[in-house]
Amino acid sequence: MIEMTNRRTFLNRSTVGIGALALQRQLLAGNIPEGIKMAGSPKAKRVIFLCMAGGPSHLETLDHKPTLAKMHGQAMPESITKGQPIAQLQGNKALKCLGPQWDFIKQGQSGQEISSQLPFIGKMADDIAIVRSMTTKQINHDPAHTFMNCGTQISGRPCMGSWIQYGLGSETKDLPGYVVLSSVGGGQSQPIASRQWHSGFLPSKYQGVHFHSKGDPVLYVGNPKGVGRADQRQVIDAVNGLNTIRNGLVDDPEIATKISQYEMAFRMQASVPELVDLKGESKETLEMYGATPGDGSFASNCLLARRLAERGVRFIQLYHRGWDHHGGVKNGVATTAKLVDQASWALVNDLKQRGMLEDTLVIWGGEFGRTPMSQGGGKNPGRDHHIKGFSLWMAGGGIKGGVTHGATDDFGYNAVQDVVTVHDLHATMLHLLGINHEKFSYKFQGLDMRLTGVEGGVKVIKNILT
Amino acid sequence: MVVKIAWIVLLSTTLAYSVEDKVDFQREVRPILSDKCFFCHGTDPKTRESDLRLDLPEEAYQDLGGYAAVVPGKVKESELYLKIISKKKKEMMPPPKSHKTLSPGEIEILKKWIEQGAEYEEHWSYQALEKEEAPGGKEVDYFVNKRWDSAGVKGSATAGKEILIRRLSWDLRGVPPASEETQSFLNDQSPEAWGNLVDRFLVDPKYGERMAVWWLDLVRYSDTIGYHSDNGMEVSPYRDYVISAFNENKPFSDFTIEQLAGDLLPNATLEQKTASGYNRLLQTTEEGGAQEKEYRAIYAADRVRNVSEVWLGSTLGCAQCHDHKYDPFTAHDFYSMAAFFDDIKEAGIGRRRPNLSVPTPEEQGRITELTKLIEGNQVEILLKNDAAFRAKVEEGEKRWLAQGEMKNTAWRPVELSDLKAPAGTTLEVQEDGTVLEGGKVPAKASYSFKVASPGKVSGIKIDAYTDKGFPVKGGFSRANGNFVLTGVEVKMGGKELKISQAKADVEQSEYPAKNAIDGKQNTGWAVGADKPEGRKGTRRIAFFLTKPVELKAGEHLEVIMRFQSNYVGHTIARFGVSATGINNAGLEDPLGPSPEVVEAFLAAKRNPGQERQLADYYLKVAPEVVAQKAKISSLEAELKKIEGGIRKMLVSEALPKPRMTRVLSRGNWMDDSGDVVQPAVPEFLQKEIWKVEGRATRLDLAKWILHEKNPLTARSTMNRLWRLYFGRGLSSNVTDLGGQGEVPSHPELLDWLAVDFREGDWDFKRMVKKIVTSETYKQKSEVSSFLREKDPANDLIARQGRWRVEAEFVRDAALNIAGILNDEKIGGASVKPYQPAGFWQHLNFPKKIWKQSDGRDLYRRSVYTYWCRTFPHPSMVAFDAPSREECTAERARSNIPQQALAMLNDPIFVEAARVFGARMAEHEGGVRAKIEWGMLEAFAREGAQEEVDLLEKVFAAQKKKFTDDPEGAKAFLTTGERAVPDGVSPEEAAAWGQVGRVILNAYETTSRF
Repeated sequence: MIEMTNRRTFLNRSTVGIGALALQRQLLAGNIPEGIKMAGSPKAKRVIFLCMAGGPSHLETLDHKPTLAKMHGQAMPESITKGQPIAQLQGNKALKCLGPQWDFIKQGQSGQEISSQLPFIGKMADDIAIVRSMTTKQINHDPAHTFMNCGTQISGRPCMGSWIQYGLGSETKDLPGYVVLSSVGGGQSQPIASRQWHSGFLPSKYQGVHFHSKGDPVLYVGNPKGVGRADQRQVIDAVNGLNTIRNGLVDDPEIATKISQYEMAFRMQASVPELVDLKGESKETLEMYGATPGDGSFASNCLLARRLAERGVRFIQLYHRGWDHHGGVKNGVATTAKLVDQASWALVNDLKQRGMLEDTLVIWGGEFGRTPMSQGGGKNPGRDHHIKGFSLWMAGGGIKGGVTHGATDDFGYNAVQDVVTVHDLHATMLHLLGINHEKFSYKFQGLDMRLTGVEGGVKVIKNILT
Repeated sequence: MVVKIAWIVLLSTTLAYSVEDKVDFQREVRPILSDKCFFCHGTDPKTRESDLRLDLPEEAYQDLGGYAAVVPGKVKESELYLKIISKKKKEMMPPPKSHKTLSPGEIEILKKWIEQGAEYEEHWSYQALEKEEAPGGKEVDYFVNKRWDSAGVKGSATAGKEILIRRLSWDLRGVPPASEETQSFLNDQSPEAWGNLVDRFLVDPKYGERMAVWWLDLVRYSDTIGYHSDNGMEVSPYRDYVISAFNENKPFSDFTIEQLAGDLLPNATLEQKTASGYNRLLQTTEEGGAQEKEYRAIYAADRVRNVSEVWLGSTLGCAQCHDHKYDPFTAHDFYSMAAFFDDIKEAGIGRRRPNLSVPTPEEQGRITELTKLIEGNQVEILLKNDAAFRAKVEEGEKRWLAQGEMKNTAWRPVELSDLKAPAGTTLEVQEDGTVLEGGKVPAKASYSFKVASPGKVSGIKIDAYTDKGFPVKGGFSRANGNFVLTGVEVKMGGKELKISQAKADVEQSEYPAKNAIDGKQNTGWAVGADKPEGRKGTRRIAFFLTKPVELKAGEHLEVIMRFQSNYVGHTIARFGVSATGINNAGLEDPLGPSPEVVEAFLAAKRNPGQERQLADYYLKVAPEVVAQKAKISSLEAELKKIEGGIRKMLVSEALPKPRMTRVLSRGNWMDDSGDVVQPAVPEFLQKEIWKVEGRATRLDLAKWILHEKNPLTARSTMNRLWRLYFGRGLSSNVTDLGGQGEVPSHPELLDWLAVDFREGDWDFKRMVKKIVTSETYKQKSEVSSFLREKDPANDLIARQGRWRVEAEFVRDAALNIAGILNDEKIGGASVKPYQPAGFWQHLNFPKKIWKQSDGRDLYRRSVYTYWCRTFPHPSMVAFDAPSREECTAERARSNIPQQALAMLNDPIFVEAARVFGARMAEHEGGVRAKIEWGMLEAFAREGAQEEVDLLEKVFAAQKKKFTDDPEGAKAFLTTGERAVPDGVSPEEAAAWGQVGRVILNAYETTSRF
């Protein structure tokens, strides 16, 4: 964004002629804010967060619980569940254990245990670190996503992607630095609000830009009907021309910024269609991901994520809405897993082949886990929302592969060993990006706000770092 | 230039208050203490270290065992000073783990402060309001000039008139002025010109809409609930209340009371109840599995945050989990504040059902009229009060009795002939006129017969009777007693007569009377074994013709009754037929009176009981009565229709017994151990003004908010009002006036405005006028390099502010310049202008579709655009419209590429541009003249030659392009729903549309300066 266009002569003239220094100053100031202390050398340059929305059951994916299998059908000990927040099972007197619905397989050299329903992720067991002791504070989807993204359930706070934009700025001048993609399938699709990628009290230039699989990939990126690229260029040139003349009279840095933003918009009008056009991808690559161009699937989105990463996008978030298995968790997990397993592996594998995995942090997990108790009983029992212990995995960008961190109790209910909070996860992510989370703050309503909150006790998960 | 040099000479080296003088506690010392010390040595006991408070003088001075933190006048004996200059990690303050450090300048200020006696002052915003004397009418300039004088600065020159009118129009109405308005103001050379212009804009209804955008952000007004499914909620009448309150200049005191407690006012008016919708604007959830207790706590906190931010300019929300660290708010205060709202009736989880109908005055007028008509014209009332009516009925009865034979009035008997039934089944007319089915019970059947009944026929009635011979007692068919009448047809001379309505006295669920005329054979009318009344006595169904017919003697109608359901033998096995000439006649009248009535009628000598029986019977069938009932039923239908169309909304409704509120330790909703609290205002602000007997109500809260000794309300409101006209509050933090807020640049001015506002009956327009008629307001907004360096933040207000206007006004301006802004309608349900398809794809439960509005509703002002919290309109979001999840006192003013994309490509801006272009095309003169006119419309100034040249080139090139590409021109001109004007060729219209796009996109078009 610092660079002005070099295409048009009168713009060049304007850059030199009017307030060019002011413009430079202002744009530079938009990058790394003063006072952010880097925590040594960063391991990761960017983050791809694969958000398994709906709350995948850790008990059928990443957390193997043989004891729970033995307890199947028996009453859940009241000592564990009494007084605990429960979403839909509240008031349900007979809480019964539901054993794991799928087998686990020891995978790779490391022997990490991964569900039989995630065979592709299993193939890269030695590349990923599994965290089995995640906890969160919010038990319903919407606030839980907000908590996972913003570190608080209160609306109006920035999400992690925006924080990272604010902290590190953008590495691309043709695309937004924070992009959100989404797909559905495999279970009931819980709604997702745009607050999940909102910049809250941070300047709005840091908010995530949502790419759509239908219509314009980015809202309003297409020219009006009947207007070609050359016509659009002419309109923008004239707009910038009027703005330049105006700025010569009033010397307003906002006008200078406006000129550069029209250039950015024009570049996006070319770069976005180019980005989402998968024609240039080989058949092998498409097959590796299991992607059909234009289908809006998680697989296509994973491929787009790699393309975004290649183009310097800092924070890429993929939502797959399909993990809310209140009923029929067995088949549900199998179905949803099939939609994400191969592509998740393909993404990591592809990044690795291209030498990008080492500076790309990939995170795979949901907003919460699911209860060891069955919901619904009958032939196709499900599991309810669960916040006291769940799992996720991470790979790349400074993450040690083949490691399992933390553990839940025998039931998979409470995280009991090396408990990890959402704030810890954020602190770890920031650490890998070279930011000390304690010194990373923004003044709002007179307070020094932080992604990781003000309460203290937040720790980086050292055990999984290279 | 000459002026600039003079300034430099006048100016001292710094604009800050002179350091050589006494340090300013509010401005210099308190912010340091607050930011660097109070977290551990402030109001919150839970985070307090060493049991030391530095926010209170007596604590700071106290003997800590031979030493004290602060010893006034003695720096070397003050532990505070020794700690802040210490280099030892264990000793130094602030401690390294806090990540806070003091700059040498800050240390110097604290040192001076102690040396000069370490005097404390109460935080500025909590101090009582005092009004400093100022010259009448020129107060604003007086205070601003005073500061200039002490800083040795002069203000900027007055801006040109065309700039001033544009600025004022943005600020007061949210749209740029029309070119005629500009012209007439430029021509007005009178000294009152400016004041008159201000007055004109203040009575323009657009003023209320513009102010509403400000207020609705504060109260987080939205059309959806916010959480999870984000379903709709009906509160739009509240938005209209706000608009009209500003337009009518309702005193802020009433405005406050009505919103917080309108429902509690004695004999609350519809308007006051509507205002109380404020308490329902918070975010709520319908998510399955959400826990009521948790969400009650979330709602309580939401309300406390909002009421304290909106009216007090305070962030009481911080005290949800712990005592506030920077202000004297305690967690107890937070929950006591929450308790005020515990009387509001609302579901914890689930759908928000509207609890108030808000008719428009027209609707209300007709409702009153109809209600009166319906009530006053009931038969019973007429019989009692209307002698003429009574006499008519009585005479009728006499005539009826005298005629010597039983004859129906509303429904008359008919003669039946040519009865046809399926083979094996018979239909026979009985002595009493009813038709009885015999022979084989048919599986399905169609019965037809001819009806003769001379006179007007507007309806045919069929009565279903039971019969002693039926297998099921009280049944209507010879099967299991039930029937399904799947169709009825009426023909005359072989031609089918259209039936407009079917009505029955009893309807089984899912078998309403109208099913008998829907043309389908798998649906029908039944009276149901599921209803006890279905099996008692006679059931009736009447069919009314769209066009009544006149039957002459010898003429007949043909009637077909179909029983084609899958239920075997579900026919009406005994029925009677009658006809009426009265539209929509009632059903009460059976084919024949009961045997008792017949007996009474025929009795040679009637006893009093029999006479009463006859009178009662006659009242049911008297033509006057039947006609009257039909009239009332049509009035009732109209009333029902109007009532169904009335806007409904959520408002406050007080529970007789409020919910109980406890202090939740650390905000934990599962912890029931906290103290139960009663509604009360924050303790440190109660002072002597909080005296309430019994449980305090929202009304008490509102009164306290407005109390003359509560300094926060007026200060915060005037600080925010100032921001509307200068782009920045007098205290630059317009959200929070508390300890972490900013000391005002002109405290005396802020206080003067606050007191004047309160003393002047909380009159908004008066204060607006006071501000915008000042010379301070009329300054130029250009920043001299001198001021840019010396006063970059404009603390001295030595120039006006300049900014891009709010999201709503960006769109409104485009529509206004295009001449398509629908500004004739104020208020009403929220509208849905163009929005990209699929934008709501991530919403669910249920799935949602943006149903685009029609016609002129596409061009309403943006304050009426449907506000969805999870997905607000994307082109509004691009221009920093907030989600309205929380109170927004200050919108961001970003400058991002999405704004360029929206203004270039969003269909509404393209449409506005091409309609604007067509207006230029239609304007008289050559290309340059047309361009000049367009610039005048958009910029309220004449275009420079260089600018006109540039636009002329665009026009020429685009005209060529569209001439070569007629399909492209056609496509471009069909963006949006407005038709292309006649008389302009497509290539010209499209080329002018491109010129329109350039002008609309120019920064000047949407900037206020």
